[in-house]
Amino acid sequence: MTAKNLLKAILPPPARRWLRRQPLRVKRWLGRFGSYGGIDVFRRNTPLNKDWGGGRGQIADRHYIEQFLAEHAGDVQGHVLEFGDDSYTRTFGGAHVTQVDVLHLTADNPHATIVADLADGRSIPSDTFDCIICTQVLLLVYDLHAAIRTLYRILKPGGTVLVTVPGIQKISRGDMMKSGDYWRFTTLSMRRLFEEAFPRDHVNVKAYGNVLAAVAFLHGLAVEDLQREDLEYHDPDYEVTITLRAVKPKAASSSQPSGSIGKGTDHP
Amino acid sequence: MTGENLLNTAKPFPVGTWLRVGQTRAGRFLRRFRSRADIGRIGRTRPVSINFGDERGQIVDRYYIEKFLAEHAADVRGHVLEFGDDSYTRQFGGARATKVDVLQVTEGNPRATVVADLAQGGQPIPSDTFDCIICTQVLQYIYDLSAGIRTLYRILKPGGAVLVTVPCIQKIDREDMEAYGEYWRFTSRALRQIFEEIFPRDHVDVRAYGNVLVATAFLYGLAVEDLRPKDLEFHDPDYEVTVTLRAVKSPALPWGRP
Repeated sequence: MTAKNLLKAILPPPARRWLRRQPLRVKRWLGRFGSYGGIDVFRRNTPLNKDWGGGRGQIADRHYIEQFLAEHAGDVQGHVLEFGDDSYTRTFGGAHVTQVDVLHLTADNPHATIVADLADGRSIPSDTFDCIICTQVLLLVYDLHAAIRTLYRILKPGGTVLVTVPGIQKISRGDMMKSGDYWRFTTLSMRRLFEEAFPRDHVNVKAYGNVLAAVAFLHGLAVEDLQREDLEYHDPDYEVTITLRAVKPKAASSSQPSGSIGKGTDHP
Repeated sequence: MTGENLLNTAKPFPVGTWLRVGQTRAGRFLRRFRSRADIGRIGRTRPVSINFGDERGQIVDRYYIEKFLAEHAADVRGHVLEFGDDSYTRQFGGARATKVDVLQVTEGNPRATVVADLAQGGQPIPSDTFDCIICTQVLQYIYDLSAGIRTLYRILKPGGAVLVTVPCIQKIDREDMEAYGEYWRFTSRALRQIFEEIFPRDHVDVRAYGNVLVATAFLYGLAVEDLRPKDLEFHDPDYEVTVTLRAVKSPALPWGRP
């Protein structure tokens, strides 16, 4: 018999009602003696796993990122640009990719074929890429408007950029120490930022996640720690990963972005 | 000899390959049980409360916001501007606040004394007006942050202080998302940088509060009363739930700076 059942049996009904009204703190204390389901994760103020969950299996947000890239694998073709390394280009583009470039902010990455800052980006030629895979990058760029202008400029007309950013995520400590970790987004800010550079009907935004996925990700649990349906339920109030696909119009010229950048003119 | 070694010698080659592939699959399958025990029975994909825990007690981030304001209560004096209502001015300023204005971006708030949009320059508020601006959980609704912060700088009196709080780990506030649009979550570094572009660098102080437990409780909609004080007071720099900033307009500089 658990402590909870024991209490139920021996306490008079008014005392039981009082107990039910007590905050979780008391129930948690009682939970030590038996089991009060569902609060174990509310006991610890340090993450279950110091890492992002990589040591346990697939990192939780990768599940959403790869689902998004798999859905748009058809876009990964021709001359592709990726950040950090070319693993997603190889996985999702395969034989459709004719040329790959890897961009890195600093010169210390042996995979990198281009060393440039997206917020500046003058060294990258215009109208170059058929596809840009830009996963979990923009959070590290302070000047978002400039970075997105660069993405637009270096895309070939008709080319596609596949973007993912976090909505709920812990600090990326390694990046914070180097170039800085700045932003978490909402679907609304992502849409608005990209609509400044890309035509409105060429931008598609989607959010993935729910409160459990968010908490599991914060704690560094892996995809394998969760049930599939836990990840596949999407609660619009918990945007863990936000994905965006934007296409540069076929007739576009890189020097004339379609929107005016940096002017938030219709804010409430 | 272990079972595995015996198998290795006895089995033909393709079976070995099949088994190895099977091992990773079985390992992943088994890990599921081990790990689910680790996360206990938390397995709920719906929050405990959809109102940030309001009906259970004090909303978690309010604990940090009020702690921050209490620390800087001395700044809440003279002519004060607050957003939405004047409750924090009354609570922390008391008799020091000689005049209070309440700003709302849209018409229809009976407590508002000023209707203005920070992103549009904050007209009709005159420059150099306020000794203190209390700006808690407001900036995430302003798309053009630089314009908003430039306005804060403009309407502050020289020597006046702005007390800012913003969220970093937080769910979407559906009501405000629909009314105003919710755009940003800030790390301490982002908040510092956007303010340092407009305020003098040594007049900006930034701090972050929270840890993974507080973040979890806040996301699920538990309240302050559900947590122990020591859990709230432990700050893990990797989990910024609430980010606070105090910035002072330099008395020596004219308001026209950037």
